[in-house]
Amino acid sequence: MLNFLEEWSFFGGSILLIFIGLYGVLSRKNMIKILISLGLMDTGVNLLLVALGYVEAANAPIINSVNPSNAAAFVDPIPQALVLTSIVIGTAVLALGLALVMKIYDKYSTLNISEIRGLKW
Amino acid sequence: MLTKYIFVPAAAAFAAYILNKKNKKAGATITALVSAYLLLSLALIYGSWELNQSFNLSLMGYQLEFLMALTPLSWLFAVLTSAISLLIAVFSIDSQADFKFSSVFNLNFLLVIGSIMGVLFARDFLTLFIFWELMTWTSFYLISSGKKKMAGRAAYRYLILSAAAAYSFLMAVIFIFQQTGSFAFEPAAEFLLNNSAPQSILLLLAISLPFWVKAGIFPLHVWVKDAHGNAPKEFSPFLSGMLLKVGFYGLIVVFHQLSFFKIIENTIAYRGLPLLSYLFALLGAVTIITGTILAIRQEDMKKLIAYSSISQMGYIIIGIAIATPLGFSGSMLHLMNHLIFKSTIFLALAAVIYRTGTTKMYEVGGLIFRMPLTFAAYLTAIIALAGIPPTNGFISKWVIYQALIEKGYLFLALAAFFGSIASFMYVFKPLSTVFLGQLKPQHQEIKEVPLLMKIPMLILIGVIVLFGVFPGIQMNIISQISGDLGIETVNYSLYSIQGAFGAWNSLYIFNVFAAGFVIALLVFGLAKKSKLVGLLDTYSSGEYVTDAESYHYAYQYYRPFDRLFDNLAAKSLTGFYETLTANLLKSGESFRRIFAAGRVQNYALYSVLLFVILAAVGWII
Amino acid sequence: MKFRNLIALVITAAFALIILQAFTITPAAGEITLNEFGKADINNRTAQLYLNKSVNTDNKKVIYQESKNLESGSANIVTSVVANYRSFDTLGEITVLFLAAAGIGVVLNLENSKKKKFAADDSSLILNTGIKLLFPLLLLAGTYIFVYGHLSPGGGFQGGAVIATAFLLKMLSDNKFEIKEISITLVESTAGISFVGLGLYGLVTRGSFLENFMATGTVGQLFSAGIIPLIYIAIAFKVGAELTNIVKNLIEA
Repeated sequence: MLNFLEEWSFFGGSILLIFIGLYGVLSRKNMIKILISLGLMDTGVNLLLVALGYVEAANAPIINSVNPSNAAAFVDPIPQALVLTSIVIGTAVLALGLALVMKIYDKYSTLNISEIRGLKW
Repeated sequence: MLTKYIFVPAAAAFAAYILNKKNKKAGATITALVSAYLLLSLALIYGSWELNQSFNLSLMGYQLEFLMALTPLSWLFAVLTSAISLLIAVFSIDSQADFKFSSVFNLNFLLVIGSIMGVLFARDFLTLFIFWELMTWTSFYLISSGKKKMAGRAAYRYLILSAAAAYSFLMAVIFIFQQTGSFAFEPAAEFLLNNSAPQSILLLLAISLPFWVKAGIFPLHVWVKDAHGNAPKEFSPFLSGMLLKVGFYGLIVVFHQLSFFKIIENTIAYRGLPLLSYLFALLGAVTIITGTILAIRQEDMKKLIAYSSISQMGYIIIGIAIATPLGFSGSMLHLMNHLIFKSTIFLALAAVIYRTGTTKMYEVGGLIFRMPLTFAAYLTAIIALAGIPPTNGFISKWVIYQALIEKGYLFLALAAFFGSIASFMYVFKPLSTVFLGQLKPQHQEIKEVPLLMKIPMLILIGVIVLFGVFPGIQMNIISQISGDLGIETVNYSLYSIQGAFGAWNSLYIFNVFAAGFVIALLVFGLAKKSKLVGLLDTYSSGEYVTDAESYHYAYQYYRPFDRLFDNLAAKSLTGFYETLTANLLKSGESFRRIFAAGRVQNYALYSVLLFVILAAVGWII
Repeated sequence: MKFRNLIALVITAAFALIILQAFTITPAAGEITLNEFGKADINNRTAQLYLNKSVNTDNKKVIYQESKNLESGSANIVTSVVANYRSFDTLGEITVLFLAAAGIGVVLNLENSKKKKFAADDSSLILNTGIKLLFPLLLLAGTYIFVYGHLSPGGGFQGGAVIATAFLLKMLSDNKFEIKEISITLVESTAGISFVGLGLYGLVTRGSFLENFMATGTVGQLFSAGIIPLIYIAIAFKVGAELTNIVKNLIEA
């Protein structure tokens, strides 16, 4: 049971996180909440990527006095590098989204997304 | 070397663009020189029909072959193109000064010439399509560079129609390519012959759609009036004279070289003519009638002549569609002759516009006193257009009548006669209002056009009469074309053509007419001179006339005749297309309201839904 | 529950189901398989090359404080991926960050009709004093993180973020604290230009963009790994300046 939980808390859990975020983006009315949901999706993706590179009982991929040689068991460094990139871009997206929300609040004086009907042609 | 006919104009185009920035006459001079060079080298390769060229290109795993070859048909069209562009370029040397986009005009004009050459020499669909599109786009820019406000809109309409048709062409061509693995004409023709007939007919109709559009045949003629009326005055002769004809080149290629007529040979026939061919001829007849009726109503001289172009195209398509030896020869003759006299008319009008700056007929008058040569050119050309001997227009129409009567196509013949008689009505309108009548006060100081503009008009007058007397010169190449396409040739000599019910000998007729002309000249010289009255000497019951123009006799010249067709003209096809567009937009708008009501989250929902559907489809497959 | 929320739930659930069923597919022979959790097969992945530092050479054994002049001298393998093997990606990444910062600057400085200026109260004494104490320490910690990026966990992005945090706290605590726009821009552009300059120098001397043109030294020493520390320092300054700029813009708007 514990094994199952461990396995699914990383793969299934991160996928669940992604879809919770997706549901939040689609259903919440408050724009700040939508941005939080976007952040959740981001976290879910990052977790999933890192989990894909995990090796049981292995170390962080750094050669130091604890693991003096590359013969030791390391986890996969590439997903970690990717996630590093992903985190930075997620931050940039969130910051830009918040700036937009601020601007929209200035203009419409509301955070409710369904009261903002400007996006039609 | 057939590529030089494409690349010399293309290279010269950029040279003309750069040099024209320095000197406004340089561009047109270069155009004239290049056209003369093309004409000369085309004359030198006359008869060497085995000339061809091909390039191979490997692209994304496909072996593409670009084929070019010289046939009598393409030779004729190439000669016509370079000849008319030579005359127009010479004409436009002096008029460049009042041209806003002179450099761009010359660049595009040379590119159009080059791309037409590419279209004519192409022996595979890919080359044809590339140059066809190039031609469409460059002529689009040329039309939209016209001075009037409407020019952009007119050019846009032209482009939309051409583009839609070009896509249908491309679709059919790619379908054929899938089946045969080659873009060349011969395997395509073979494939279409062996394919099931309905599919082949559909494919060929799709392929021929851009040519129908370019030729301005009835349901697709809506672009012609505005494009011709608003194009720069120097380009109108080329547009009407040559660009419309390139459409017929394409149609002949589809009908004969892609064996369209062979495919429909055994379908239901009417008087020995397959029903589809008869339908095409019927379209031609409708084109003649609509073009004529609408031309008579016009107040703008360029638009009037544009409608006349539409109606004359009807004659050509009738002849091509019935495809008898006489019909085909008549079409080709009319095609050449229409090019000659219609460019004369447009050049004469361009000369008038150059001097007066207006295209409205009721704003000018009496220019015969100031521009006699322009008047002479216009007069000769309209005599040819109305089909009166001893000009070339008569002969081609005569041959087409012969072909129609021979087979007994009553309605077609009726339409052709109607168009011929009524055409004199509409061409007489500019004659009597622009050239005859009285000179307007503001046009007292007008002079005849400069020498360089006179020369092309003089040459064209000469050619009209020359071909009117010696149609054998034209029949020479036409018989080669007919031979090449597998149509029986008509018996002809230098000055006579053998019709279905007897021969036409133009030499006798010319002599008779010359004698008549001399007698008329004597009468004119000896009889009393006419008396000039004041321009605004209009009877108005003592009322003060505020808008003299509406009392000008040129305004609504044929009103009683027009009244007959008022109901018909109100239901114009342009209006129909416009209502169609409006309704389409409206229904699209109401459809949009359901989905795009401005709720931001819905848009997110739609994109996620799309992903779900894609994922589900991927899963199921 | 509203109708739209129901639809959103249904769509999301359908999507999730379709994605989750992918985990149950048994792959055919020769297809790439998804490892079970914790059983990633590093030996058959690209990662092995990076771990052995043998993408171009064939060094097999890397020993801490002993191996010299390796292909990439960084002890932190993630760093060697981010700042050496895939440093071109990283250049693109900081460009994205730069674009976001520029976008925020543009969006927030658009003309708006009803501009409200908050007159913020002075912050509490505890926050003020605490941050006065923390500010130099945070700067130091950030510097440590990016300078030791090739030896220990951390690097330019993390160090830059810590430095930006220090400035954020400073701005929160002190109303009068202000960084000049020009100094941020100067730091940011200098860092960006030096990153690209390092890459171009590699292009000129070694023939490919961002190639390591310095001696890589001994694994595990501070002065080792060639241009990796230099790139990370440039990244740290750039990221720090950009994040500070974002924070500044958001606070001032």
